[in-house]
Amino acid sequence: MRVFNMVLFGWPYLPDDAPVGTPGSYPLSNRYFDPVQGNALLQRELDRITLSDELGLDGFTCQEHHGGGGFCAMVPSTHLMAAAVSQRTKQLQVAITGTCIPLHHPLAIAEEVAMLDHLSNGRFIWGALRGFPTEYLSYNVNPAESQARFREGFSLVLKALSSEGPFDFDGQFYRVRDYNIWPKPLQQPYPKIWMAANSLDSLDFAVKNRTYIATPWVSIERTRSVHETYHRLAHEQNIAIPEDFDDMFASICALYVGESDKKARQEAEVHLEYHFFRALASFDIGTVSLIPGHMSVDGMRDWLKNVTSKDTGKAMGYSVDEGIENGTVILGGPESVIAQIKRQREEGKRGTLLAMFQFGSLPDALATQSLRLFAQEVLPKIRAI
Amino acid sequence: MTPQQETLELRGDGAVRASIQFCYRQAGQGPPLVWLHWLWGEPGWMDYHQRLAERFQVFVPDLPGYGQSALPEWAKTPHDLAVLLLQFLDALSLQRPIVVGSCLGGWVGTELALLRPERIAKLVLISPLGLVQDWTKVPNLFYTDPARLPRYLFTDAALEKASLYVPDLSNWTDAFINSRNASIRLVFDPYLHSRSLRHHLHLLTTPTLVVWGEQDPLLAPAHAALWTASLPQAHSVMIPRAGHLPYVEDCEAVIQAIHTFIPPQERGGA
Repeated sequence: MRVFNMVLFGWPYLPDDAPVGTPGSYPLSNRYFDPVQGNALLQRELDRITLSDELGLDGFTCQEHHGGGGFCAMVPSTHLMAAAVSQRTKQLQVAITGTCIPLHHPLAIAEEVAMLDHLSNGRFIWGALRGFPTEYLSYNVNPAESQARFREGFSLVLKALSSEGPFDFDGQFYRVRDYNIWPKPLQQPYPKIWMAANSLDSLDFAVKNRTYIATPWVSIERTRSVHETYHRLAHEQNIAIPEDFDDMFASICALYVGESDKKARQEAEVHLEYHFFRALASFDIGTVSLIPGHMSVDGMRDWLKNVTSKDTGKAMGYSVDEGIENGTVILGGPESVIAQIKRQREEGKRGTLLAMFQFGSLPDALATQSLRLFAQEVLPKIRAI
Repeated sequence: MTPQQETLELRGDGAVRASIQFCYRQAGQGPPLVWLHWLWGEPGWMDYHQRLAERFQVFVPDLPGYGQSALPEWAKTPHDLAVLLLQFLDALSLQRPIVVGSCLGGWVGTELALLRPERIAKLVLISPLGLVQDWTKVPNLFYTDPARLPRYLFTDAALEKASLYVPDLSNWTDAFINSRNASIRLVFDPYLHSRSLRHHLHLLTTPTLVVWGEQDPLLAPAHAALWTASLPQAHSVMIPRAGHLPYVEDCEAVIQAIHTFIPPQERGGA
């Protein structure tokens, strides 16, 4: 098992009266943002990423999100974050999971991906993300075009990265005549790519483009089924899967190691709850998902069935025990954590954990303590898993 | 009167004209009248269609992208819908229909009349989209609490009728989801309007009636004056105590306004 330190930058200082999971809570008013606190948050996280490198973690990653709120307070630009991390670290892989392609010009994405590959001396992994429909509203990109723009933009990024000499591109949204990028990436033809894919349609696109998969916050059952589907689609179409696909098959989780199970829970539970019930839930998924155009008719029908039957749209929140059960939380003393990671690999088919060592309102010192314990007690024993 | 429900398959020529499918309802006798629906589509054959069908041969198509009518990939604007609608008029040999358009339908009707002024006998625009004074002040229909949506369209007195036009989540049909997806594709940016339309309107010489609900919560009735100031042959009628779809709230007042605008010799029936 490989482990990346993933930073989400939830805003840990939301007052009780901040809107959470209510219609219109996106974008969260930036009157809740304190510049001095924000700066300290960013600098402490950069220090912990440097420490992750020294302690031998496999990588770093972050996600592009906009509009602030409990879970994306500090990184609207993953490319800038990756650039900073590339200069502070020596060994770990610098990843993005990923860039919301339709919100940027694909040529600029390709040029920055190539730069990041050089800045990191070839340690860069790119990620492609479609993003939330609210982000399209904010950037005035039509949500009805999000999928088509994502796919076309992705093709253009790859073409720009891999073309030798000036090329032309004639798309529905992007048109290029007689251009080529400088620099070309260090890794040839281009760095590895993680795609945030979950639906059948997006998995098929990933298979056809031979990308790796990074799933969002989903259960162990779900990652197993995504893993199976990817292999099946590749087999059916006779497309060769990258050799290290299974080891790169990545999934997001929150991770905390304490000296014992009891201590870990005492230290982290309330902060995990903040993460699930305040930070993630600050995003009003019930209203956001109804923005037309982003989902197909089939997708929306399924979503509505889910919302109206179980009321799951009200909040993304669930308890820590549910989180451990479904695989989005890894919590305990070293032995339990090793056992949970084994289960993630065996039942969830996960080969790389995009693990949040900082989450919710977890104090900085505890996050660092957990990271050190993880590196000493857990990491050496999960390499062979 | 039960309307006929038809599906019109228009075969393209593979080059210039698109292959499209139009679903439409049709009833009544008299001069042809084409009703163009509002932003999220027509819920069915309604009382206002029925009243119009007493004196007109009424056609109510699902615009491309709505209900069962498909939207070709290249079509992205109300102007594109007007081009497709011309094929519909040709296929049904509607040489000079009256066109009544509500909301999005009003914008499409305007584009149609700009394209082919000689093909439209008279134009009725009911709180049309296309001109917006300050789009940032217009309620966001695409991102809002679903429970608030009816209040962006109807007056308080008509909220119980709203569920037909803005159904509860448990009653969303595939056709409705389809219609909402089409709507954001067509009018997302610039929101509900065009930056150039105002500068085209002086060419629209078709006699035009602009109808507005006096309490329209979406587009304030002051918008009616934007239209009449730009159109050479237009006047406006306000419908008291009515919102964005005034024919839902006061069917008779809207029918009366249309009848006044189209004198008896231009209509059929009694």
